Amino acid sequence: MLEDSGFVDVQIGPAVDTFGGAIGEEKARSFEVYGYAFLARKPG
Amino acid sequence: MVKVVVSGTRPQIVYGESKLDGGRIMNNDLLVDPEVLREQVREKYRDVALEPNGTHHFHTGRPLATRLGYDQVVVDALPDRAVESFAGVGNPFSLRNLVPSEKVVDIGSGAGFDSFIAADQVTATGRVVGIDMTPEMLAKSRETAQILGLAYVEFLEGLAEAIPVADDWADAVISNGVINLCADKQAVFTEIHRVLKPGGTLQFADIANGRPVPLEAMRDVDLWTG
Repeated sequence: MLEDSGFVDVQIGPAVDTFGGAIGEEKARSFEVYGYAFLARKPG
Repeated sequence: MVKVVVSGTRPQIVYGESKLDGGRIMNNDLLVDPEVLREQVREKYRDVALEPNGTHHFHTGRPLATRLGYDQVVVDALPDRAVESFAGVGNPFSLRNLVPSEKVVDIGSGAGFDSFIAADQVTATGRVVGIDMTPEMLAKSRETAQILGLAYVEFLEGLAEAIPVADDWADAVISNGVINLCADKQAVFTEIHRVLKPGGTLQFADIANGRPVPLEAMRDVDLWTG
């Protein structure tokens, strides 16, 4: 989707256990939900 | 609720379970009503603004900032009101720090935590514009900026799909846990692309799921914020 919008050089950081220990942890675990950092550049 | 999905082992923003039709779900095939979703998001984050230490299904505040790897020295220097309502899902500065003098837009700036981190990095020669749609968050972030004396940081009411910033204005756009709460992600990325200068960077954090979410669940707006 980022590339579809015209972005290039897309990078994705390592997974972070965003919900570990929170009330939403069980639901997050059931769908293997983690946080990620994304980096992309507009050409030019 | 998860709207960002994983293909193979590499997380990608690919919008819903579009494998059903072999292509992307287009704007006229949104999974939920955008305005209904916005109202639910406003309600949720109104609570986070007013009762940051209340019961939420996600972590908040300083413990969350530590969990996500923010620069502890910078976070420690911020007053509680700048940190306590932070509810991000990752660290938008983990792959790239901002540069002094850069002009930055923070999409879904909430109570301003990431905007204040950005302000520390771009310094007073830069500009930071936070955009949010929740009145209680805007009021809190504006007051905090005033308390901190950050004249180069401002907060505007607006939507991720309609950013109140001129074309090609920003050197960088940041966001944290917000795009997954937007019904039309393609519209958001198109809008971010519009406000970025050529060569500008988009650096954001968001959630992705390793297992597919059933389509019926993705159409249940209550699950998007729950």
